[in-house]
Amino acid sequence: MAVKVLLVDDEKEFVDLLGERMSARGMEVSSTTSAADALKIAEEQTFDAIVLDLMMPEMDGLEVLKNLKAKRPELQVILLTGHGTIEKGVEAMRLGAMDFVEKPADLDTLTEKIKKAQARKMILVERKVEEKLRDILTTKGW
Amino acid sequence: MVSLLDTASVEGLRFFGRISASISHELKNTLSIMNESAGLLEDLALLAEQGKGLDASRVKSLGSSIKRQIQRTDQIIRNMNRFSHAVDEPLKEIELVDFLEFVLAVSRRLTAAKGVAITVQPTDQPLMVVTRPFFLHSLIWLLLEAGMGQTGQSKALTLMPEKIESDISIRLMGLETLALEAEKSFLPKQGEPLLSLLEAKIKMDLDQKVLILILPKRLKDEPRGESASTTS
Repeated sequence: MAVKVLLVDDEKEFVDLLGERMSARGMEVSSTTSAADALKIAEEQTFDAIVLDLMMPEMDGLEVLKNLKAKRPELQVILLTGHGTIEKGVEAMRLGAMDFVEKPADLDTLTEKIKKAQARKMILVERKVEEKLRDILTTKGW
Repeated sequence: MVSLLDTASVEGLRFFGRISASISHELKNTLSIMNESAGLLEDLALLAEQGKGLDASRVKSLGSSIKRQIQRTDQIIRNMNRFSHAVDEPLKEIELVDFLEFVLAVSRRLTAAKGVAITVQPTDQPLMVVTRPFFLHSLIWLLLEAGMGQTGQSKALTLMPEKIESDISIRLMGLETLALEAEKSFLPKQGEPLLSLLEAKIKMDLDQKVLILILPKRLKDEPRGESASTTS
């Protein structure tokens, strides 16, 4: 099954180009240039990974990350940062980001992280299903 | 004892860092687009080597994209260069409309992050001012930063420079939520030394929802605060 990725960056040309290259590598890519739209899309659809720009107009990337994780804790978010600062990256990890990549991103590195995100999400979903099953088995008296 | 110039310089340095970080972010963005364009060209070349054919129009559009980003990067670097050289001459004659447009150009990313559109109203005649450009830039940014939180629903501000008698004023318009209590607190404390150093004054027109920055047309060489040191 193809990896489902949501790209979020206010630079349209960037998301279009990156999306095209990722699609050519077999990924199923959706993209948006708006932070508010990203929150809406992430609520309506499921993704294996969200690649999110740290500095967005209307809403800071860390703010978007907080909102995404509050709504869907299993979401795997990779932050794209234009800053060469470790502090922001550390802050992002503390808020639940899976990883961060500095711009300009190397597609091979990003792809590797996306695959890791997919694997991690699968484990989390499986664990959730297991917990649900265990809950049913212990609470229902069959 | 700390001089007025020293106090203003600390704020100036903070402002310089903020703008430099914003410019570096913009440069990273243009580099990212060029990086992806180049990567896509490589992808297309690889496909062509495998006998998949080469879409000439796609190659051409990628070339145009790279050219566009080079021009954009060049403009960002020009602005960065002009911004860096603002500290070279402490006192300089500037044309105010051109200066205000430059202020907006280097802080576009920061204003866009707040979702506020800021414009400069042009004047019929050039408005020449002898001032301290770097400190004026710092002061205007502090006012814009405060003003962006006062636009209400409109999310728009206008800077209107004009000549008033022997002075020059810059009207900051569009402050929809400007209230009486803002008169004393609109400019943050760190802006006060800048105001003194530029011999500027701030007035508010609460009915019109406008802040007016008044500057002398020709600032004198010796900053007033240099001879009279301030304590901090």
